[in-house]
Amino acid sequence: MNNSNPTLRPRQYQFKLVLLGESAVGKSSVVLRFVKDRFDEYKESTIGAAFLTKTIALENGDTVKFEIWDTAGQERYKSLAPMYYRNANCAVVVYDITQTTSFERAQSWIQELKKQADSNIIIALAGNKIDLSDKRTVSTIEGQNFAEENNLLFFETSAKESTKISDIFTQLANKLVESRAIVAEAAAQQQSRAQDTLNLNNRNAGQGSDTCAC
Amino acid sequence: MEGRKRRVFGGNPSISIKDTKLNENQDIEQHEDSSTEQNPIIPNSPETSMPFVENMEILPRSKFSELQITAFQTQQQQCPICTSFIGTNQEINIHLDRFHFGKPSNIKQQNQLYNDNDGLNEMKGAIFGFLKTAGQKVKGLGDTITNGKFSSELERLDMLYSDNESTSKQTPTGMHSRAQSSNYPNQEHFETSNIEQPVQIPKICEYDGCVNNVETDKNKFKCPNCYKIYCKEHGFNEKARHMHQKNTGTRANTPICLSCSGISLDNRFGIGGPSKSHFHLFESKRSKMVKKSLLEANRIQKRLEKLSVGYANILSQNQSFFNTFDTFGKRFAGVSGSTSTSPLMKLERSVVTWEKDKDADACYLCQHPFNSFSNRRHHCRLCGRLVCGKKTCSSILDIPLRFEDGSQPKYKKFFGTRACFTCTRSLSLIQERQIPVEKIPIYGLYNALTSINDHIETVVNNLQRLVDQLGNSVNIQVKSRLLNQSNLNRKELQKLLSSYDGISKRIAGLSSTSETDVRLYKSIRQSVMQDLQLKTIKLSSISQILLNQNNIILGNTNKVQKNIKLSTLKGDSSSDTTDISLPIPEIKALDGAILENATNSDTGIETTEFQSNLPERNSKFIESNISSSQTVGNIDELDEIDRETLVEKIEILREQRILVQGYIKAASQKREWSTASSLNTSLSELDNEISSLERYL
Repeated sequence: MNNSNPTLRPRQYQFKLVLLGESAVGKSSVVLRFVKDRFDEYKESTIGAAFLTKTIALENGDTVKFEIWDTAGQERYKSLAPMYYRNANCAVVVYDITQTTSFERAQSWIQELKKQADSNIIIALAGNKIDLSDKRTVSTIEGQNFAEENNLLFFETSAKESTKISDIFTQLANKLVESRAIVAEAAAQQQSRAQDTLNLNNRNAGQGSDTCAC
Repeated sequence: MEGRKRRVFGGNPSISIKDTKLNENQDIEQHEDSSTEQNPIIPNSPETSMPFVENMEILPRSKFSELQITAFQTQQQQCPICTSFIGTNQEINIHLDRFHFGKPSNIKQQNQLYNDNDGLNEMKGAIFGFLKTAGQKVKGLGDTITNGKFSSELERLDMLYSDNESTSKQTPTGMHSRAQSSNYPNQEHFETSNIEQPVQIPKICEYDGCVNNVETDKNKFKCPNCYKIYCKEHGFNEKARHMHQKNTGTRANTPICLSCSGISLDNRFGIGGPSKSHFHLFESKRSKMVKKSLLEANRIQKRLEKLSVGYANILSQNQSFFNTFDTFGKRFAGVSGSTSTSPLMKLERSVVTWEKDKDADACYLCQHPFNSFSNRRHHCRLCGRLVCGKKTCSSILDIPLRFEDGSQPKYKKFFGTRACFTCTRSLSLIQERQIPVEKIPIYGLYNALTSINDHIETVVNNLQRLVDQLGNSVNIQVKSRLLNQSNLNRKELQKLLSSYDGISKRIAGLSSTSETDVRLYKSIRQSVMQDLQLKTIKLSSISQILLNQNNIILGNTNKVQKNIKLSTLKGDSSSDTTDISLPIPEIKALDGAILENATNSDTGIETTEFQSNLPERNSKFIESNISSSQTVGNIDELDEIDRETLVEKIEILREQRILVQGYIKAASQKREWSTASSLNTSLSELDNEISSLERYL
């Protein structure tokens, strides 16, 4: 993390990302498409939480490195998820547009994140498998409304056809960098306020004035 | 004295020594004849060896002079000290050498030398002294001699004493009454030589103020150090021994009494005991220091105000100064070398008296000696002391200029003046102090956090108690009530926990200029997170139990419902309403409980419809009994289930751990160190989780 020095450009950021959602909604496929731009028709279900990294470049030249924890959706591994979302900077909650239960599960995940995770966490909601839109049971508006209510980023994606997958991550990256900048600004403001009063620590002011009369 | 005597009375006497010794002995005889007391060669307490004591006992005192004469005539010498030893010169030499060195005696003892009773006590004292010194001489055996042999000697002396008493009874003099009047005629001496003996075995504990009976061996403790008899409570004490060893540096293996160990029993738990708190001392010292520093700070502040007003006035009067002082710090450009005539200096000297130049040879802070070129003298304008110009010792302080009415001068708002490091620091401390504590955000937040934590503790305890009761109770009605209560508690707890978390997040999000504050906030957040983890582990099991209980009760409800339906069908057919009045309240209550509790079951049972006859009711009761016994069984299983889930959790975590280890390996192979390090932190988190779960198991 080299963003401590604001003058240095391009800056490098590193963020922790966690994928949540019911099993078989395509979390791993989304990540695989994003990281390796590949798609497996028959992907085995994830064990535990898989770890991947991907670095992307933003338009202004900054780079963002995502450390992705792709959690298993199976109920068995439910206890693992809190470990990873607890200190994640952002989360992608995935649901299957053909499965209503997966959307309900996604909603409960979001509630859990709001309660348990870091308050600054940025959450993206992704309705996956839009290539199977003829079997759709969750409408786009439903998802959008829910996302708006909870202040989430919303996408409808397809890992198979690679639609909107990279959008999720770039938008997340932009938003994260933005929030970082806000934090930095606030800190700077605080500093300037502190300098408003009598500055006793400024010893440099005395430089070159050793010609004291006494 | 001792040395000299040893030389003279050495065990290997030559003729010349014999002569001198004989002379001395004659001297002694003379002295005895004249006054018998003021013999300068007798430094020791009198003592004797056993055979001669017996000898003496046989001889009554009236025959002593006669004996002395005969002893002298037959070349036999009586011991000049103990008067009872008779033998040849050589024998006396050996006797004296063996018994008569050690403690110097005082006049009083010498006065009593030839007094039968007192003399005997003296002898005893001397023997103890000898034994003690002998014990000390034989290194390593000290303890054995003083404690083993010594006590046996003592017993013998006890016998001797009683014998002596019997002899003194024979004598017509007033010795008898004297002996009776005091058991320890020479107590003072004995105490100085630290040797005492119990002549009369006391019946109660000798500890001051203790009245415990010590006649039985069981309750008795005889201190080997002071020979006093104590009860168990005031006698041997492990702690006493320990303390004694510590105090004296000795390694006494035998138990000693409390008084010998230097511990006062009454004080053990008192103010001065080992648990004495030094806090009030610390507090008073600290408050003094704080007062002092506050005083100093206030003084400096006053001076600062004076200076700020004074500078403003001077500068506004002498507009020309502004031209020369347009840059900060260059205050004496052009006026450098200004003398005491300068109005600035006048002002500064009026604010605080300056230390004279000749009074200080070195900077009071760095001790670096002053000279006129490289290390010039400077005065601190706030305390008047001489400091050097190094940045660590003094610096130019920008004082805000202000007129008496509070207005600021137009052209210049600050004026630089020299202040030493100490004054600068206390000024900055004042600035920090001026912010009221309540306005610091962390203050309020932390208070809220602690109060919530307290609240959580009480609720958790409540819940724990309820769950315990739930597990113990068999009655379904009680169970459902408990379940309801605990559900309410659980909800409250969830709210509390989330606000606990939220507040800690806010604390972590606080921004501060000082690094230590930020670290503090972060560590608060971290500890809260850990605390929460622990609490949630505990709570998850509790909620699991609650859920199971809920299911059990629901199961019961279903069963009862079935029964009721059955019975209503049957009841309709039989339509026997004679005996209904009795069971209805019970069933009602049961149903009420079910309705109250079973929120998921939407089947409302109308009790009014319920009609049944006796045998059916009985069957139903049997049924419910069975179900309740099942409940009990289930409760027993609950722990088992709980364990299983925990074990599975741990298993999953372990699997994940292996996975993460693989990722770390891969990352380090690809030389992605940052990734590897973040994976490492995740690994340690896993480890923490696993260990906390295992601890819970």
